Amino acid sequence: MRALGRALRRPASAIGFAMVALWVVCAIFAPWLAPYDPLKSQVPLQMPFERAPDGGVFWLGTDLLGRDILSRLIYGARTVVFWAGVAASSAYIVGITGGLCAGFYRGITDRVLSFLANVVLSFPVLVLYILIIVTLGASGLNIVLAVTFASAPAIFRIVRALSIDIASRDFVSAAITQGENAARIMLVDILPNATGPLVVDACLRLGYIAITIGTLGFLGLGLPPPTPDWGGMVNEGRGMAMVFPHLVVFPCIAISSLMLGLSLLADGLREASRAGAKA
Amino acid sequence: MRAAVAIEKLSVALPSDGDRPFAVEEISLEVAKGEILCVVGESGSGKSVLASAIMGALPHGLRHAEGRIIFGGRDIAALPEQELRAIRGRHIAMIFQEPMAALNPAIRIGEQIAEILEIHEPEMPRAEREARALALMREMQLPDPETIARRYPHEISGGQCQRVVIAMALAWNPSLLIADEPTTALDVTTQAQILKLIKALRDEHGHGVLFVTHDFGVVADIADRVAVMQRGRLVEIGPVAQVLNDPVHPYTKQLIAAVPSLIPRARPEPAEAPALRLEGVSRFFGPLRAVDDVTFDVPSGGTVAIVGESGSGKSTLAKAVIRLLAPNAGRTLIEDVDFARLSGRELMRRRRLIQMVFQDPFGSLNPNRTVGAMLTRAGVLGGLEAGEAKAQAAELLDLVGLQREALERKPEAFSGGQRQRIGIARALAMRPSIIVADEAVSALDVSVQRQVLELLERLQRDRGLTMLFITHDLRVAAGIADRIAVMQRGRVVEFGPAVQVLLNPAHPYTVELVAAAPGREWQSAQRAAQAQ
Repeated sequence: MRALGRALRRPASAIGFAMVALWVVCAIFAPWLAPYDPLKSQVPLQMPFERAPDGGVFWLGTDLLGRDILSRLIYGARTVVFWAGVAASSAYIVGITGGLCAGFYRGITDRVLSFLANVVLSFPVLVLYILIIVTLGASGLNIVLAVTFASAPAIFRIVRALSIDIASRDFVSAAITQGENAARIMLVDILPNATGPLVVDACLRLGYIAITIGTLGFLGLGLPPPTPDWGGMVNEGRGMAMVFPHLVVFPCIAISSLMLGLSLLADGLREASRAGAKA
Repeated sequence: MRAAVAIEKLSVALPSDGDRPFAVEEISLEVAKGEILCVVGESGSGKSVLASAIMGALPHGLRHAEGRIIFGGRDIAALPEQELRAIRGRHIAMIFQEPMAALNPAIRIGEQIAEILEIHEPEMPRAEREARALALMREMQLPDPETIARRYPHEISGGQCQRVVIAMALAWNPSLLIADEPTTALDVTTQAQILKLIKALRDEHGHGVLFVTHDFGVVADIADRVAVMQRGRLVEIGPVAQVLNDPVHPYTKQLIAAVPSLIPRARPEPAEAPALRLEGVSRFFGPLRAVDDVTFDVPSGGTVAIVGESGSGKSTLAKAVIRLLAPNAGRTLIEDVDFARLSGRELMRRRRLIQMVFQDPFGSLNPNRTVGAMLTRAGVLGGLEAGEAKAQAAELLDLVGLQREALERKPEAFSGGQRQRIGIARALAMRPSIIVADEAVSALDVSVQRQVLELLERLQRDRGLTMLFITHDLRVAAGIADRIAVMQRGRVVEFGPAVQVLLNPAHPYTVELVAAAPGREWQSAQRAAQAQ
């Protein structure tokens, strides 16, 4: 928390935080913020700022089926923020559990877990996603499963390295000589001292996962239509992108702004935790 | 005598959020040519800042505020970086505490020395550079310089590294050598050799030496004059004999009184019954016999000090005894149960009996937990109810001399000495009968060191604790131990009552260790004077 406070004093990270916060607010308050029902067909292919039949304005225009793009982006934030959050949490739970065990116990536990992680890491990520989603079918839960499977090994490696380092410190030795049980040592002595680098990684990873969800949507492997989904919107609009660029440009801006916001925030947190470590 | 450097009213400002405005405040002193001036003080006294100020290399955030540094007739504090660079390394040279860190790990020793020659005189032919590098190494009494020149820093010992660093510092025959704790990271016997070398080189070249140290024993062995610093100010300066034997300033008196003596203190003879028996304890790492067949008893309520140099296996022995490492062979009997063979629940249950106090006061406490949480949890693991453990935590803080407010704080709020007290309280929270202290006072300043040792002694008396005290410092062992075990290359080469081992050592290695203890001659002279 203190690191976040320090990070927000830098303009770049404050902007990053604002971009992320904007989309989170959109996701939470979508029904109040969106001017129209994201699924309701109105006038197809309206350009931005055109008048709507009810006297309102299609600020970002409408798509092929006449749905308001702004409303779809706002509702689409729900998909991305919610599923990216769930998927990242799931990947972290798996990666942290494995990493703590490997780093604390070492030996055979470490070798087996590290081997499994390396096997998964040796696959191209996108191929892995496609394989999993095609096999299991497109649904939110399967996206979570795919992201967990693909991301947990990388998280595992970070946590493992941090745990090995922290486990060599004297306060962990002290806990061992007190007869403290292994789970408590891992959760009380090791994990809280590893959070700094993990939070930074989490920001970046959330961005990648958001992009992944967009990519899956674009490939038609995301949430089944008509759920508003930024990647899916780019896919639907790409045939007419030359004539109606707004179909593609705005969802793309949405994806990149979320990603950029998270990256800026991660940079700021990294600098702030470094400064904190020095002080 | 001409001055090698004269400092006039030098002040170095700390950043505005520091605990005081100046790291070094209005210091005036001179180092004459051919003189060794020791600057002594405890951590935070500003002695290292003074050294780096003369080098013109202040740590980040510090600023030269006022005063002049006269070197070679010029005020070098006012010189631009460009001109300073020509002086630094050639006319003023510096050696550091960590010789390993001062050398580039990826470049061979010979090339590193040659590089120093090249920096200040690029035209010197390669062959001459190499020949001069070898000559320098020979002058530093490095064995077989041709071989060492081809080695990398990690392939030679710490003492040899420090000789290489000194060779690099003296490559251009500077008129001032600044040494910042150059022997602190070294073993005593190596320290004695390096001190001798620094003196011999000074005699031969006649350069001035500004020698920063925290150890009055080292001061007694090497200094011509002594400057004592406290919180950035110079409190006393004078010839070595006068400052050591007849200090004027109360702070100097206090520091000198806190210097541990090599003469063992009289202690009541401990009970015969052993609380801890080691029988043939061994621990190997591959072919390395880190601990090799160690056998001795620790009398109940008594203290055995294990002394030895780095790599002697004393810390590994401590870890094997407390079961942070499993011993390969041998028995460690506590209450007639072989602690080395226990496992699972029985081991967890009996761990309570033997607790450890660690060396590093910064690494041994979890920075994320409050002191109260640590002590309470230790009490619970020691078999108390949560409420009792909480009450005990508060009592323990009283016992180790800390305020009860400490319960709510995290380790970052405490100094090194206070943290060590917390570490001791944590060990006691489990109500053990044996305490293993692994270099528990090595990281502390002498006055704090003395307080912590006194605390340990008092606790031992009041609670009947048995102690296994690991230290590299014979003077600390002399102050606290009933018996001393001397370790060399994994084996105990001498074991006996402290008085006998220190005053009448039998094994040649013990003789060497005792002889190398810094300040030995000064202390025995002082004692003789007191006896009269």
